[in-house]
Amino acid sequence: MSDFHETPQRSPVSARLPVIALAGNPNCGKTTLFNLLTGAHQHVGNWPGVTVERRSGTMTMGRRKISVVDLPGVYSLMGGGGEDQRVARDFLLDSDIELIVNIVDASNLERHMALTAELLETGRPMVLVLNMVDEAEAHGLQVRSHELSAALGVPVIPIVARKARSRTRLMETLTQALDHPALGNMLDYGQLIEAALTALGTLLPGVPPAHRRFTALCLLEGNSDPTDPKTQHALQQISSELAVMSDETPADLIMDRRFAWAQEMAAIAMHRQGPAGLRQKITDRLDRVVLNDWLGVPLFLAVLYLVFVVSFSGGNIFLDFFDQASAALLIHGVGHLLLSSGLPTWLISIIAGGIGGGLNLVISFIPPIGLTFLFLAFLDDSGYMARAAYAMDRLMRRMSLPGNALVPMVIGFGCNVPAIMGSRIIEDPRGRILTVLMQPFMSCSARLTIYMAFAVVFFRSNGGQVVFALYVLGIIVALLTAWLLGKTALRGEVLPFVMELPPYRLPSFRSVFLQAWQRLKVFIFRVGRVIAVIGVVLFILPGIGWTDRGLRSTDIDHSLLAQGSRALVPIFEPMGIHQDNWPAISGLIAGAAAKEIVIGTLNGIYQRQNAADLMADYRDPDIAGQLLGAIKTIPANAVTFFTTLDDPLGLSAMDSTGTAEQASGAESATLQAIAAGFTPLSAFAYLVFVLLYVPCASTMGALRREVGWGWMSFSLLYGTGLAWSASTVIYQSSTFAKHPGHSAAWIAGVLAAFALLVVGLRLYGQRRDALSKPSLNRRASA
Amino acid sequence: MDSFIMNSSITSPSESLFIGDLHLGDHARVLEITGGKVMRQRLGMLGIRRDTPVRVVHGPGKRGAVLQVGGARVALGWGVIQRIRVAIIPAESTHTGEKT
Repeated sequence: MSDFHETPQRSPVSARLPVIALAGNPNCGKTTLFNLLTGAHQHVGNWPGVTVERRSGTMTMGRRKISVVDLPGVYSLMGGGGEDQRVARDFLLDSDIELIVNIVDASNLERHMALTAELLETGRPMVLVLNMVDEAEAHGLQVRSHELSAALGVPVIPIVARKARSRTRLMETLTQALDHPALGNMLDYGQLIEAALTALGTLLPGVPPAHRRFTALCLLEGNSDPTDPKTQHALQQISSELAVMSDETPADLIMDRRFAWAQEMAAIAMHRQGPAGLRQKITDRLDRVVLNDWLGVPLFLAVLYLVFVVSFSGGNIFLDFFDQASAALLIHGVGHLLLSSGLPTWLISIIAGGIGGGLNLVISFIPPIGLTFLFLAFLDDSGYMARAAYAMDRLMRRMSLPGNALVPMVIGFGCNVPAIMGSRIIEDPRGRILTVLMQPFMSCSARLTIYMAFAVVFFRSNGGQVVFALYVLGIIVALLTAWLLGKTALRGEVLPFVMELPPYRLPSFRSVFLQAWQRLKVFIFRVGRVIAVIGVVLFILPGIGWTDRGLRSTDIDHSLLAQGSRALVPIFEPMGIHQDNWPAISGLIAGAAAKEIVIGTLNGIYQRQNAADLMADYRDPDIAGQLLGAIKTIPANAVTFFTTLDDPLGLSAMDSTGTAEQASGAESATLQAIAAGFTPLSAFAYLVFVLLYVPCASTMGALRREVGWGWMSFSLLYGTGLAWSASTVIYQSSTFAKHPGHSAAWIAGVLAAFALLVVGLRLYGQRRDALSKPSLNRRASA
Repeated sequence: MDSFIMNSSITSPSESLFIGDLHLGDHARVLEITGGKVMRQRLGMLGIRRDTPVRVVHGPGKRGAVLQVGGARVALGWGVIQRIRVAIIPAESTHTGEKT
């Protein structure tokens, strides 16, 4: 029915199609409406500022195609807000748009109508969509859309976008509005301002007549500066006269009239039928708990903890099924088919063992990752996240961050790239850079696959706690990084917290499922894209090596991959990686491109190292039996899950974990090889390195786009250095008794390097402050 | 330009308070925002401007306050609530469409 694409850089739509732009305040349901019209399923959260860049899709009505552009929420066309709001403003004011669809929240109409007034001033055809009428009705309000339509002079449609109510009617209205555009009734600012607008308009000959009124309004409100001295002089004169005549500044007069108009329109559109229902009482009671001074922060940490422990434990119910079923089909089934078709064994081992095995390990982790996404989607939709940002604001402020930096941090649990993009909601450039630089330390879903593979081997009984500890460590490092930079290289004041708290909503299953699926789909398909990298790593590098006779085909232990990884092992020895565990280094190298392929790389290498007869499993596999066995694991694991519900922390198993012997029961050859290559301590140090070093090439690209080459390079070096330092300190301090002198030297070296870094950052900050002072002086004198 | 004071019919500026001085549940009307143009613009976007009736639904405390403004709830940090001068009004004079 429709298609969808992101258009961050290039022209958003085809010139042949008419363009509909969706505009409205943050959190009014634009993206839900976009999904409804185009069929795309974008991530929609119940917090302000989820969409940070414009996206376009196509709506089809009969044979007619219409381009629909979803814009970030914007409170005013006159200025203010973060980078995301600037994107929306620029598009609405400067692009070729056939129709603006202004979406407003019917339950908070007065506030949303102020933007409607500004959109009418642009002189473009408009349709007003009254969204969330169900919530307005729940508050005892009756919607009178015909009366509002008559007052505005544009079509008005009441809908409930979340429930897909009135979709057909809406699409029909939009196509009719394209054929018969309605410009609407601009509001009358009163005699004084209207006369000033007319006078200013005559002084703007370079501006098209349709835009003169809007440009004059911007000038009078002080949101733009005149380009020529004549207009500047006239503006000053008109402003002074207005101030004398009305005892108010023109900006105040305009804002007063605009808000009074919004109040009038809201009164026309809404008729109170009865008292507010239960909803307001529920909001009051929930807010008393969620925003409580003492409970707010612990509650947020408890919620995050439950999300990850329940996701891990609950995901375990299906983990073995996904693991065994995908192994039966993708490894043994595909291997058998290829063997039967007579392909050479080296090719079969690459396709079935390498690519199939890599996919098998990633597919195994779909249940816990899918559950994590489901929980996060539930939190998104419930209205809790904006409150958590407020609850965390004081703590974040101490780290030199605004409270809404929490929003991208939570997005970062899914993927660091949208989290970096999501930092655009932060208005203050300094706060935005700090927030962006924190994101690489947030544990994304790809890292979760690595944690879980190691947790299964070394920490099976308390894997949830270990994974949670890594998540918390990532958050702590991210916050400390912001604090350090905020005190040294990026000193400055944090903008005070101002944020709208969306209403609490019981998330619909459809919305939560779609959001979770959207994120899971990105995770799964990203693996598909990078599987090509695995192919190259597994096919070329392990098969050839540098010999006395030059580059020749060799076994894996003498291959280029082994030679390169072994050369790097001395760097990683202080964190517990030894010469014979060189595949761990290969995994890290592959992980710099994408974390999804770390386990796949290890899988391929260990399989080639260990298997004497790689084809044995493919000759006569009992696929049906394996699938049946996989199904039987579900009830067995469910029983384990429910019988350990009284011990959600897994404390009873703490003393029996952490030994490599546990891994002897692991079915996968890769997991057995991991168990042989690491100790629990070196495994944990390795996981800390994975957490902190370069997230992936895509994240680095997003960093470069958002904060430039300089800060991207800093993030790369700082993250990798910190990863090595933290892992080394963890390993050396835990083995201190064995070699005190050696360990003390490493730890002292790390501390000295860190001290040097702090000095360097302070010097950079001082230089930056010194450079900014003259420019401030220049601006002040100007 | 950075500061403006309106003539309130409810109370004179000398009797006014900042939001930080209010109590939970108090109804008030905004008289003045003393934080400069950027602050006024940020608050104006969320419907908080002079003459706006508000109700304190959380705080005020060290973290800040949450205000009911019309049909919306707006969380404000400590640095903001000390820059919004208000006058207390009786509960029944609030007429912003708030769902009470």
